[in-house]
Amino acid sequence: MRRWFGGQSIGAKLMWIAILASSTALASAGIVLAVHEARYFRQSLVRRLHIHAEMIGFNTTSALLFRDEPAAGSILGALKASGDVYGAAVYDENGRLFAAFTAPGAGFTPPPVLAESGPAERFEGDSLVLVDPIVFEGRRIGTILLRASLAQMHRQRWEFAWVLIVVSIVALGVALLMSRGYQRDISRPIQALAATARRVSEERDGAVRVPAAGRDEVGELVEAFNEMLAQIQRRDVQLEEAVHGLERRVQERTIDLERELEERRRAETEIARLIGENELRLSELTALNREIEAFSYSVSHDLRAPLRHISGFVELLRKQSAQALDEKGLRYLSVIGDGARRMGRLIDDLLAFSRTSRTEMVESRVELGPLVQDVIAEIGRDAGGREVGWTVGALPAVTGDRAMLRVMLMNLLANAFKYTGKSASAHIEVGVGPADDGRAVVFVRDDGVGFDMRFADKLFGVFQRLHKAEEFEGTGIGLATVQRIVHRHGGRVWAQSAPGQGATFFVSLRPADAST
Amino acid sequence: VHASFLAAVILASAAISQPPTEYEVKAAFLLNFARFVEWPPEKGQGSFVVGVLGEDSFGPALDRTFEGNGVAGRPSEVRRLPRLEDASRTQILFIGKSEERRLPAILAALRGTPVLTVSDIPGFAERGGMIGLRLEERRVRFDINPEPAAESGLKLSSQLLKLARIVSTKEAR
Repeated sequence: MRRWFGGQSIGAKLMWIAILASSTALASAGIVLAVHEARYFRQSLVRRLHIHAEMIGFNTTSALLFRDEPAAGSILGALKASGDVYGAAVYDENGRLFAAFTAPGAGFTPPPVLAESGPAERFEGDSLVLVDPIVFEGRRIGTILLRASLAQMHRQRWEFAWVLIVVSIVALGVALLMSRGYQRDISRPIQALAATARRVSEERDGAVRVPAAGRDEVGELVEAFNEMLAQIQRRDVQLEEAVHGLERRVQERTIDLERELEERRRAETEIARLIGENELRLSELTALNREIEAFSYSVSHDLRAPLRHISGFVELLRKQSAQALDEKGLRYLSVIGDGARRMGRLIDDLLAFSRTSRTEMVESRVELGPLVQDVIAEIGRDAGGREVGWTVGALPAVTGDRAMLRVMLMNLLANAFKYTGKSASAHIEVGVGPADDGRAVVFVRDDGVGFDMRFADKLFGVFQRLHKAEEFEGTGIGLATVQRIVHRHGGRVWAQSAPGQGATFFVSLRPADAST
Repeated sequence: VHASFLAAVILASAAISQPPTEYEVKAAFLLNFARFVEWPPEKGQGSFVVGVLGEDSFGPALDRTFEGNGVAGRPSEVRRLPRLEDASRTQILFIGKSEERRLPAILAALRGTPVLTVSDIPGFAERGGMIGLRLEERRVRFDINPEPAAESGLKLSSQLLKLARIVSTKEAR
């Protein structure tokens, strides 16, 4: 229905709207009127008959009291004039028939005895039957029965229906005629508008205008449409100008771009050349570095043998020729022994350090907790009776080379142990810090002497020491080894401290895969 | 509540299961006349008195009919009148058949007095009485002479008049 309606022209739509609106209004008014009239007819008939009954009752009162049946009969006979009452009967107070009236040809025989006394009314077929009491001085002295034909009522209903139908048809006709008239006023300007719009879109002719229509919404629409056409025309001109300007700018820009491109190409070749040079230098440097490492390794290795000789013979000298030496000689001997021992340690550290960059890494899942406990136990064995409070948090599992990680932990913890040496009740904590870029962070915190953050960048360099050798023993290689191991594991190491406030070292490591 | 004469009659007739006798009907008529007649206001004090002058043919019917039935809000009373002088204190005076010869004197004595005169003496109304009872096809019917009623200040209802045969006084008889 809606689709069909949508396909109609505006004129047809207006006509249908007019028909629908007026027929709906007529139909609803007609239904309301019909219902009202139907009820009204019935009610008025019932009311009229009750009045009849009351009057007859009043008139027959004395006849009933004086038992004058003919008088009652003649009073009832007056009902002949009433159009629709075709039967009437008066009963005495015991319900026995007293007087009756029957219209000629009505075929009504009043019942000889009437049980009910009313007031009541009912519709029986085509008749209305009504029973009312006759009351005199507050007492019922009889009953009246009336029968009325409904033919008149039906006739009135039919007349009413016909009037309604005729009025509806006339009203519809008038509505149609009127809608014809005004639909022309509405649809003609709209059709003109539609035709112009089609012309504008087909011929691209922005100069046409729609003839002005009245001052209503359609008129406004036409005006707005004309205004729109004028604007389109203005825009077309502007657009053309803009296009010209744009073309010019595109040409300029193209030249600029080409120049830029040329420059960039030149820069790229320059960069490529530089990269080539750098790579060359890098490979040279790498080779050099490898050479130095190999050299330092072999030097350290080769240094060990003579050093062992020195230590061995110093020991022999102390055991066997102690009596031959005076006190000065013995002191020299112990200085030589100490120097040899320190040198040995230095060589060991150097070897370990160079090993960290030379050895192949064997990666596996490593539980840091047990490893830390293991290292602490080892430190405790060499502590020489020093007591330190250890706190170890729940440490994660990481992926890495077990041996290297052990070296790393040993260096970190030994470092902390060493720099808390001056405090009577030292405390060292190993725990987990907030993750760093997806890596597990483990920290080692001591309450030792700490260091000045200005020198933090020197901490991890080889042979870089922030404290004098006399204050704290050491080779200056430990933290460099830690950094190298952490770097080889792809992590980083950093520290936080202040003098006298203790130090905290952080390392970030790859967490163990769930599968390993 | 007025128990009506009809109720009384029906009760009585139901008891003996016979149609009402002539005088039972006439007694009922007297009660109904009282209901359709209006007396002048100065007569509206005390009991409503029904008097019987002369021969009383009602037996107990009259007393039974009026017993417990007031008229216009007044208690009713039935009296047998030995003397004519007492007649002026009644509202309804029933004149027995025995008084036919005295009739002119009685009517002359009551002329202008608001007493409704009723009798079953033949031609009572034509002779100057107000309501005359008669039998017609074994039914009790009545004649009304409106002149003496109007003279006495009594108002007869149209309901009553339409059931009656209206007559006028015939002096010549």
